[in-house]
Amino acid sequence: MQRQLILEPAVDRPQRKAHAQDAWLPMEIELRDTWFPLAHSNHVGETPVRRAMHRQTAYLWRDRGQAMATEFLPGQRSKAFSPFTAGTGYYPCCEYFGYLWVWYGNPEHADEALIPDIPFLPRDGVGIPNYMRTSVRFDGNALLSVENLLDLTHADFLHGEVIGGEGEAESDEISFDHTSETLTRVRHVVGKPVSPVMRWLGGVRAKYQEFRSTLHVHLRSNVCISYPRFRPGFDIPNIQTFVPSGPYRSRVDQIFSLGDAPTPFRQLMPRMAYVVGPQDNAVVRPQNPRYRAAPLRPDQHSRFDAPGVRYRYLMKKLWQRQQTGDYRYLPDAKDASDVRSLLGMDG
Amino acid sequence: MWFPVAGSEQVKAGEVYAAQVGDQELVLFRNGGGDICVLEDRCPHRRVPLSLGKVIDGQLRCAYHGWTFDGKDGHCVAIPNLDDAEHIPASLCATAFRTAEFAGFIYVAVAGEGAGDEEFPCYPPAGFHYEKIDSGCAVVSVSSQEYLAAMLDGPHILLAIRGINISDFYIGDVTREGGCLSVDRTAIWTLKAKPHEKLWGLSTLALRTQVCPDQSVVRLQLLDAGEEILLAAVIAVVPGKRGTSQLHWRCYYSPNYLRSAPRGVRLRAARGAPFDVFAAVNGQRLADLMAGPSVELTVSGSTEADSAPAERIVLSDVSEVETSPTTEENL
Repeated sequence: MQRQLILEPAVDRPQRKAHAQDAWLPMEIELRDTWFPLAHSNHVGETPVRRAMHRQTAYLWRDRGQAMATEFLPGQRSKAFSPFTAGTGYYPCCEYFGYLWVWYGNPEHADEALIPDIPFLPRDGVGIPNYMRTSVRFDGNALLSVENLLDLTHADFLHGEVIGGEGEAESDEISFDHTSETLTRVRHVVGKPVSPVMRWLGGVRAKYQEFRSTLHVHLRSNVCISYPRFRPGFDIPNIQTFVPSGPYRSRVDQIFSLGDAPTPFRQLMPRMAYVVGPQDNAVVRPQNPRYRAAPLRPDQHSRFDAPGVRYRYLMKKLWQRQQTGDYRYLPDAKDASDVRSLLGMDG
Repeated sequence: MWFPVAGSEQVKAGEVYAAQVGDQELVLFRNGGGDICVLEDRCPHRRVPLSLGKVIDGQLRCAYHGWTFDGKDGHCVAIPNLDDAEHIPASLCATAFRTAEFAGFIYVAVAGEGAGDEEFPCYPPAGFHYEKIDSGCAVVSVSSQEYLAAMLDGPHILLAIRGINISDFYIGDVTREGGCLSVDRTAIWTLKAKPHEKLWGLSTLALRTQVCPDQSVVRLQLLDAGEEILLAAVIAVVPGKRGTSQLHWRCYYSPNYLRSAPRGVRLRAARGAPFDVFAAVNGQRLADLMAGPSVELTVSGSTEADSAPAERIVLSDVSEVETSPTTEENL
């Protein structure tokens, strides 16, 4: 048994009053009745692949070309199955936008209209080049990874060699909008040094550029539709799927849509996920135990955290609702609506 | 009370150093003036370890979102991309701890125990003239309390002094001074791992081991026949996570060190660093180490921390095991 020492602070500060509503325990949140994009469609074949949605295991495989998501390995149906498959062992599943989507929740509520719209990807998933797909592991809770994306000011520091500029900009404005099921954050930066990846791979020769990044987050599934626009430069639309693999890990199957970008940027930019991902991991991983069951010490925020604070509020609200057995989508939820204008694709 | 957490050498200007005291994670760095600063290793913004950050102009910048903190009071002094007119509220701050640096060690003050300047536990003995200093650090997979106890019972399994064989033949009993326990044992100049028994009768050296459980410090002195100090060492044993201990040590050598050594030993021992604290403790040797002076750590007079109960597994006594009755009738 190690001894415990309490250290003396350098400055006497009055203890800040902690409020229960400030508590943020992302590991406890497990939202149901949602579609998880569990795998790239082209990763699923006749040999089953194992995936997880929270604590629930799913085996993905094809039977004569038809995608299946089951609680059992093919040919090994021997146990009782969970309510997630209504005892059948088969999860509701379907294929759209190049993913195999699996329903997590009451199978009776599974509705394909609830699959998020991804306007820059073909709905049938046909024609997405393999080099635009990546799969990245995150050693952190999925919600912490979503927060990581919401506050993009981290990119200047963590991904400096890809994004460039350590907090240098003429102006940096953050705004957001939300429904009960989605949160949309817009970051607009003017006078930002051109990112190295755009300069060296994209041929952008300007010194500064304008950057408008829109992130559309689906709260239940952690599906993040990202639409960054660089001027001068190009758009880098992409989708990031933070599928919770238990409370401490998440898996991201990304698809980029870079059809309008020049070569070699188009081919190499998706590979940056394998540079950026581990950099994010370096901070998300040690966050994990510190958000697990900490004593109530609220996080401090700057104005850049407004979307993140709202995200926590919306997630807790949804979680509280589900705790009482209310899994409904409220009328303001427009999951399958066209989000082109929201993402700034029209401008 | 001041508690040592690191050696001065470990915290270089412009660099960060992550340390622990039990479960408390700390980040150490030097400000623009070279003064040591100790903050909780947790950014108040998103709880990321500040030790992943960088020291910029003597202030610590978090690696995640670039919040920058003053080391003396923990105040957040910069948030990137804020407009010049935007003010950072004083409430945005990391936890800073009271700290001091003395004689090659960095200390933090333990709350409520009135740490003052006179209490630094890690220093060479008063009046000891030394010509050379060595230092080092290691993490061992032994709890600090077990390490301190083993240091009393068998320092030879935890450290080595080149050319010296440390015995477990105690010279007299354990003595107590303040909260510290001290015991002397014989030692001899030899290059052999297991010298001949008759040599013990001729041993001319003594190793004094002083263990201060409150401050988690071990002081060692190698004495010659005239009780002149040949070598003095201080080891700060800092409790770490998962039952580990971080060791930060300094060793001071007298100009007379090796003078009394036999010629063959002197030539060999003069090569390389003579004092070494093992970074790996042999579990079998530790398990085989018989309790000796360390039993004094748990008798009256020791501190509450010393006597923290060790996890105990009680085995049933053979005599209590129920067997078929042995009676005269059976016989």
